[in-house]
Amino acid sequence: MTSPPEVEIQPVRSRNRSVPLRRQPPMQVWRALGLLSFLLLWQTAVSYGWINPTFVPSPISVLETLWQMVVTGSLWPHLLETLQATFAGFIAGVVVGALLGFVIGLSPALSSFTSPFITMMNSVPRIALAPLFVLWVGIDIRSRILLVFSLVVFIVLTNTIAGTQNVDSDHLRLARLFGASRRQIVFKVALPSVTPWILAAMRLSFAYALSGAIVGEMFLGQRGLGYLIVAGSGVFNIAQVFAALTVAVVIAFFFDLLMARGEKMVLRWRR
Amino acid sequence: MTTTLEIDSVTHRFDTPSGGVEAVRDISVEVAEHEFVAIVGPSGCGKTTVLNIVSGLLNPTSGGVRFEGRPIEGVHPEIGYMPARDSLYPWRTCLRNVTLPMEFRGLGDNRSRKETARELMASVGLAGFEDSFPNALSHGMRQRVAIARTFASRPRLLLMDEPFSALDSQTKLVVQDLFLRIWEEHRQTVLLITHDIMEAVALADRVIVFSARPGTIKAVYDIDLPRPRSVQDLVFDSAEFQSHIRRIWRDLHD
Repeated sequence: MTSPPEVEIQPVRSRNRSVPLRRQPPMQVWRALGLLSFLLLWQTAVSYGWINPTFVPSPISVLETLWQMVVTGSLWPHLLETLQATFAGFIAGVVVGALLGFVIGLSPALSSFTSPFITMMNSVPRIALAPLFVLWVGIDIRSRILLVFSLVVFIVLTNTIAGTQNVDSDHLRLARLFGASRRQIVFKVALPSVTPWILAAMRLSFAYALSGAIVGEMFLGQRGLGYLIVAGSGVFNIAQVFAALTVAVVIAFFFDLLMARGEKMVLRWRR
Repeated sequence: MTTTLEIDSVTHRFDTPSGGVEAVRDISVEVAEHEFVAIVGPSGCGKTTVLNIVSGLLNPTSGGVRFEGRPIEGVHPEIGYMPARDSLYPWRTCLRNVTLPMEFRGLGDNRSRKETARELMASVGLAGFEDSFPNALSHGMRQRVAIARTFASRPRLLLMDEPFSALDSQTKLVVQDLFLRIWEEHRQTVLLITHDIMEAVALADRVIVFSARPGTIKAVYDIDLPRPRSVQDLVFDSAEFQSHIRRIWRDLHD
């Protein structure tokens, strides 16, 4: 017995024929789909008992916890605390690191002199210094700002020094031959050349800044996302731990998005 | 006829761990005002060393250089320079690359600098590209911006370090002619460094051939082709041009 063909015959269309790129869903859609399927898998794993919800709560319960914290407003003081420490330390670290790095990088003698010291100081585990920071500046937010600062400043410093030393020698030569003064070389050649390096260091170091603030709060805080994590795991409220981590991820994500936008604007001369 | 540039028995030796390397030996060249002189030689013959000494970036081991009768000490504001790679600053628009030498030399105010730069951009055929960034331009266009930049510094002596070597052969002809056309307006004194005999003959009044390291002057040729010249016409049609090249080529390879 033969059945009629189930599919209609389509007009032959070559697969090689170029399809307008716009027709394909943008990468954001794929990313969202990826994230969604991961959450779905996670939810399924918890629902079917493949994972013990005592240790890994389901994404839904994490979101519920987070939502509760948002509507009751209990999240805000913690969020504010972490943001304050993160941004205060981050901004101070970027400013000091970039200025110092620029000055050091401009002088070959100074960069050569400081290089081993910077390497040594950069290899000190700053997190381990947290108790010392408390001794030096007190147990309040200042110790966490200092911790964040100490993490950010070296990343920005080393990047800025590297950038200053990598100014295109042809650009420098040209400036000299056109009779540029030292001041003009610093501001019209070196500074624009270093800017991409500083921006890259900022993007890189923000994750460290946020982690520094949170870890600091875990040790030293009575408030903040780090405190929520410690307090949550202490009473087996793992959903709270995950909620706090989710907030941290969202902060980092949006800051990076912002930085990417800013970078594109400042470095619009790059194609 | 006054002498713009005098290179007087210049010898330069670079210090290296294994003693010294003599880059150039006993170079003497006089370039008259409005004269276009080309130095040709194999790579490593010390051409660029001579240019660095003339531009004031390098002090010769012995001998001296005078510009308009005065010894050169450091970079001189009236000596212009055109590098091999265009060396445009990628973070500046084309227009602001052209204003650069005027800024460095403190010529005019911001407004007059931009006006001059705009005129120069138009004269190299790049009107409309003032606000483009160099990364968006082709090699040939970038080199044209570099030409505009060179003339923006209002040089009395122009030093050119293989300025067209990075261009493909067709673009090179076009850009060379463009350069000559702008140069004809003031006929600045030029010292051109190149490894390209054809380029030297097409552009210069006098061609000085260097020997390999240490660079010494091997021969000097007067190129009496009439001006204004068109490099394209010379290359395609001129028997005289060809015979100049043939002569230099044979001398070099004997």
